[in-house]
Amino acid sequence: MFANSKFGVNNASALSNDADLGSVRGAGVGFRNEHFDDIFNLEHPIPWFELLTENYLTINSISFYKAEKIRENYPVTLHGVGMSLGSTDDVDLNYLKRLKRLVSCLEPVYVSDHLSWVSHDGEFSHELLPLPYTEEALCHVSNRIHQVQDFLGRTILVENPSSYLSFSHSEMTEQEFVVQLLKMTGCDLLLDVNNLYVSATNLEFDPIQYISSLDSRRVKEIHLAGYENQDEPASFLFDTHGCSVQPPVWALYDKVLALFGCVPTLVEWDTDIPSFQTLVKEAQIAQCRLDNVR
Amino acid sequence: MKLAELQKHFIDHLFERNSDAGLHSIIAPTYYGKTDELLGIYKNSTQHGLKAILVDIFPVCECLVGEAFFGQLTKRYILQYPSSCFDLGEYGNQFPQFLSENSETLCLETVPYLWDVAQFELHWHQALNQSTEEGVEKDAEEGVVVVQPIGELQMVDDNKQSDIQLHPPPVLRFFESEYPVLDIWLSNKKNTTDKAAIEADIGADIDITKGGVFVLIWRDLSFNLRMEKVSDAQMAWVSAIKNNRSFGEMLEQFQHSFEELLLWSIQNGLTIGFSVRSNNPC
Repeated sequence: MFANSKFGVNNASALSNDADLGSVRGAGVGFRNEHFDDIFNLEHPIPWFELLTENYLTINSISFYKAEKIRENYPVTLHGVGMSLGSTDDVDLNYLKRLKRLVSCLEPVYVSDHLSWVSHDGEFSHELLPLPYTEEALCHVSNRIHQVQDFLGRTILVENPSSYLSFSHSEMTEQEFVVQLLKMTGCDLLLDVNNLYVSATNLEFDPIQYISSLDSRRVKEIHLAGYENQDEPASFLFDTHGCSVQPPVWALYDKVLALFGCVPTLVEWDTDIPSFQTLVKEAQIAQCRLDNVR
Repeated sequence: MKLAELQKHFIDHLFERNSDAGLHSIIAPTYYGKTDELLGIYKNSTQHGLKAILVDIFPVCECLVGEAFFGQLTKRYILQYPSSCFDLGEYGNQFPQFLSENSETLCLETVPYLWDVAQFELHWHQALNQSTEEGVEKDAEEGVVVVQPIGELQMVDDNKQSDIQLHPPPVLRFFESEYPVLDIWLSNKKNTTDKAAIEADIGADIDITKGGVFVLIWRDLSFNLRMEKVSDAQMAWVSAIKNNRSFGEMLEQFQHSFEELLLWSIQNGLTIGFSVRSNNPC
């Protein structure tokens, strides 16, 4: 249907036609529009791509066409911010219907979203906002995840948040909340190592204790990204996704791999987006670490 | 504090409504910052993200009024019109209306064409992101089933030709302004590949009193987004196609210009196919 399109997908040698499109392995990267031509015209080792769900919910739009082209040649995962799993609003059925249709079109290996909320009373912040870790919140988020999984007919992955504050009325730690949530819902974990490091630094908890409490069978995917400091040296960390992965995050990633094995890993870079080659180099660093675990 | 109450306070804080007193009392103290600063991270990030969307959709509006003033406009818009949909692509839909309604208080009298430019940029953004299915669904409702390639037009029997209906591209938008909005947009748009040619074509100075403009924005089947300044007759022709007028009706309406307009619309991709009305008793 799109063979003669303007996008000129013309370098068959770069395509991973022999790849298993039903699973993800190794170090992938987040797909960005700016890299579309390079993905097909340059030789590169990237084995899979993550697509930001909300960019492709309009089927047969230009964006969707690009996602479809990526999917024809690589395994993909869908990663969103719109489920608003912690919101006390009703589950947005319009969103879920469009997501379900997108899932049926692209057949992603994983569908994931965040342990956070983005909307209240019909107003959307489009920002991942923090939850208090209370029994009420645990029960609420658990019910929402059940609703989403029932509607989509599949298990989702939930990503741990990057946090800048915590609530004094929380009744448990984030790690306790996550462990309970996975048990109650059967959902799996997308462990964002950068988020974990940022939160652990900002809120002063031990990230090693956090990962040690997790069931290794439930960690299905890892995210890596760059953070930035507010001021040196006693710094508050911001999860900006606008630079290379920082050395302490690589160190924590090594510990995560030692604990959980070769979990598929995704390098995110969402602001000040670099060249595709730069992103590939970043992913190759992750791939080397994955290879060392084998 | 219950989760729903916390979320209400939090959203109110992000959009600068009411007192934060209830929220401050439940933020745990940290080594790094006061509760104001911690909450401010989320507020700034939310407002920054929404502003970035508006800058992305309305780049020429920003260029016309300057970055600092546009920042003030977007701040007011963000506080007055919080996003009401998970789809960020829809967030700017009310921005032209906001400019129009607040033109006096925002002191926009010196840029009377700003609203029109905003409307044009919104059309462009929507055409870029629209699904081709929307047009197809409308056609289906109207009972049109078989769309034939335009190249087969000459093969239609003589006695059926008046029943021919042309089909527009899947995404087609009409824009009209009393100002030369297209010239303003082209000469101010960043990243334009051939700035010199544009200036040579429309001149370095734009006379905003020189008259209005009709513009068509459309997307072809290969996802190419195009636009063209059109005459009254061309606009009427494309409107007739969009309104499912038959060849017979269009011949009556356009008479001597019929062939010229037909050729123009085919050559420019504004006619992507045709069908023959099947419910005609002839």
